[in-house]
Amino acid sequence: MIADIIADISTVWVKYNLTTLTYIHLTLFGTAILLILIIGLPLGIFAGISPRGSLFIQILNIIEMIPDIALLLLLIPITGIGAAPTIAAAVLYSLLPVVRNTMTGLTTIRPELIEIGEALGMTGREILRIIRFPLSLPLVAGGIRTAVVYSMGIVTLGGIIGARGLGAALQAGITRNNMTLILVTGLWIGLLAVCMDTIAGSCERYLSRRYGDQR
Amino acid sequence: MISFTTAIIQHLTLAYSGFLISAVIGIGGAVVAVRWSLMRAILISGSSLLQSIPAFTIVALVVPFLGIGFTPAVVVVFVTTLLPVLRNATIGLSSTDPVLIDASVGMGLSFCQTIRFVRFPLAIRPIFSGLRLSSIVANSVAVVTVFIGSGGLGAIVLEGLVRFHIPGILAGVIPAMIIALLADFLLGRLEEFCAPRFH
Repeated sequence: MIADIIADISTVWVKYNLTTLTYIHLTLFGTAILLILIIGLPLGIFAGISPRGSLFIQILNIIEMIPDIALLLLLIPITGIGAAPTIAAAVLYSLLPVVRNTMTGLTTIRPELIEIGEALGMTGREILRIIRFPLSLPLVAGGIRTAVVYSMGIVTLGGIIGARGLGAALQAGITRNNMTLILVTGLWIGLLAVCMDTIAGSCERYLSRRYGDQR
Repeated sequence: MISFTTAIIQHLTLAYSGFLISAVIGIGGAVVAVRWSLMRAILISGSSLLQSIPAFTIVALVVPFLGIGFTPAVVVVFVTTLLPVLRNATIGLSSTDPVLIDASVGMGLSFCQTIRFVRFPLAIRPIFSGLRLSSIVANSVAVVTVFIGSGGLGAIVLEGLVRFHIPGILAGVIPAMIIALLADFLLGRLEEFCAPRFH
């Protein structure tokens, strides 16, 4: 019985080339996360130190109110189909948690700590680098964890617009009425998503132990 | 080809029947979770784990168990919108200042009365942030469930996608977007209406 199930799984796995699809899926996901970090962290720091920072957050809030599938499909006229709109939608959608958390982390430092920095003769830039940024890391990590979950969702959704991730295999399973394919791919994506979330969550816990402000 | 009005009506029925069921069960479940702390621990850790699973995966995984059509689609909307409501309501209801609970128990309020008069008014903001998130998720999932034959605005989108007809895609997506923004606005108004005013 168990041998049969394993045989079924391996047949489906080989027939629909799930190894390649997983590889593509994770590449899309990795690219999106990398871009989110490259764009989101500087924006968050900028929003944290500039007085007009909340304007940014307002704009990103509006993007966040659009359903993710709508954002993905709205990008098609601009970027065509495939990997580009998927990554762009994942980045746009996940920017808000990263930028907002970075900004909140930088602006909610206890004022005593900043005064200590000033008393030691640090410049504004040094205070940012040595005091404010490390202390905001736990919150930043929390934002990145949310971004990980959002990106995983959008990359999976990208399967329907030709991004060739594991979402494509799911869609094939639905249209061909292939239950084994649906179950294998669905549980595999679920497992991947939970693993990514767990990894991000343990990074977050590590950072709050290491840099959290324990009064 | 379905007409535009039918599509919108189907979309609204699909998204908001699932949303209403999960709002009722989510808030009810949160009240239960406040009563039993073991249940609360299970709910909070379980829901944060399950929340990381992409919605499209749930859309697909429901097919082997419930088949395709409108009802399975409502089930999918229900499952995906339940977690944010349940999680936020549980956290909101259980994070009331214990001093306030002690004071109200000291005044002779029963458990149900503390929920009704103390915990609930103080948890309005977190509960509504869960509901607003859920309403956006409901719209997005209602479009995606077209792959399991739910109809609605997703049908227009799918037709546009299959023929790669961009105006067709936009004709399905833009109404869904407007509905999401409108629902968020209405929930915001309702939140202001329900929020306690401290004089």
